[in-house]
Amino acid sequence: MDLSDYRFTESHEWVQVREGLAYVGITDHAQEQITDITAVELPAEGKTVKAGDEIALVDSVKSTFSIFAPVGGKIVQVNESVVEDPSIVNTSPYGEGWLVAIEMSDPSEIDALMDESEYEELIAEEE
Amino acid sequence: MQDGQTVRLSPLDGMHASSGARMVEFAGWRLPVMFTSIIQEHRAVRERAGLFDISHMAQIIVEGAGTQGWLQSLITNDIRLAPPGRGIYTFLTNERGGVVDDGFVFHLPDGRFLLVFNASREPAVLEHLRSRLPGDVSVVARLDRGALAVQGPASAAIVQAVVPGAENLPRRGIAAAAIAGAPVWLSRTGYTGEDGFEMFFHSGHAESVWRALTASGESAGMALCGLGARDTLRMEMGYPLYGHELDETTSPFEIGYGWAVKLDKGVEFPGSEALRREKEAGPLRILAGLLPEGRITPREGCRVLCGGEVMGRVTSGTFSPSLERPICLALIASDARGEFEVDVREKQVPAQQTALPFYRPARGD
Repeated sequence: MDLSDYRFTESHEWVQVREGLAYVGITDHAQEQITDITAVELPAEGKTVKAGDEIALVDSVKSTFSIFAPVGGKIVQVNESVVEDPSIVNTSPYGEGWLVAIEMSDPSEIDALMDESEYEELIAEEE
Repeated sequence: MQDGQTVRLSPLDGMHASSGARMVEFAGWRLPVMFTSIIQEHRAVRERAGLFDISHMAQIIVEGAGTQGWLQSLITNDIRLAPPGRGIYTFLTNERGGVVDDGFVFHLPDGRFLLVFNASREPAVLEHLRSRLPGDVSVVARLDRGALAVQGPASAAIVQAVVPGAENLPRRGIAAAAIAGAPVWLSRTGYTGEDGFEMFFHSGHAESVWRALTASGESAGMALCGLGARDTLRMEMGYPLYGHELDETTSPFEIGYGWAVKLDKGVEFPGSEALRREKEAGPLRILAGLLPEGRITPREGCRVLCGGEVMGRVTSGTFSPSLERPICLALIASDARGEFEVDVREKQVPAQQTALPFYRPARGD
């Protein structure tokens, strides 16, 4: 999978800008650690968030995980299909398993995030 | 982990590493939490069978002339319900009637007793026993043992193939058997609600017993199962787990297990007076099954409210693979009446009380 235009957070979210919108999801490493995802709770469309705000919950059999906004702005889309079938986040974390799309208030916030190789280093350190 | 202690390894630790198990530390032991997926392992046990490493369980041998009478003066259940070749579920209680631990007392066919209790409570159980030990009884915690469980509707066929006659072992029965040449104590017990067997053996035989069972279970679709599925299976049954539903301040009556407290057996035991008073007055708390609305599972510690007042707490919460929804066990005030709500991450979610178990396996008893 080509992740060269994805950026990553230390809390294992990814963000990719598609046609000006910041699409957000959780990383493959995160879904693997969480394992069977049983529920996803997403915010209301139109909600304004700051980078670092909790925007979603991902539930597994054993635990509930908070998902944080990698960038600030307005939530303009939420992915209802992962609410219907949370296992999509396990099977396609970087694709169909995206969670929300944010209209960024400050697109330069993306520059503070990690690129793929920096994120891989972070995972290696954690393990 | 407590200071200075090293983690204890199952005799199957190397086997688990090569099976790709995800390991966790539990009660001082390193054990598999899952092999493939908690949900898949759970469903395998409900529909077919699963194999669990339960080598962490404390195995304590009690023997000597006075054993039976002494155990009768310690356990809440009635030891006479366990003639040779049978086991009983029981509690050990403190003077206040609080639970020191829960577990199985097996009366082995050779006359000795095998106590199988929680790994996390092994030191407390040993202290409880040894501080009351008479001269004609010996208590030995066996550290050189392993244990496995085969659970699920196909378990009788799977075990029968390696131990001819196993399918005739009655519920709670225990017998000497051999698996792959290794001597084992084979019991018809478990912690999943399904038909099943547990086997206890010398740790040196663990790998050969494991191999024999995995080979036998293969055609039946038996899954390797970790502690994750063990926990979701027991929660669906409303079975308590020490440290969650049980502690030294919780009584058997509060969790709805009065059937394992025999106050009329003619022998007093630690806490019997307190438990008699509690039985008469009725317990102040009860263990309730709750079905919370919404998709996010309320976890242990979440407050349970009734009429806006805190009436208790969630003791265990999980996504139930059988019901495909969140379920919770909660200790709540027994006089709480009305609609319940559970505090989940700063939201109050309505929760409907339901009779336990949450899930009723198909088997007859």
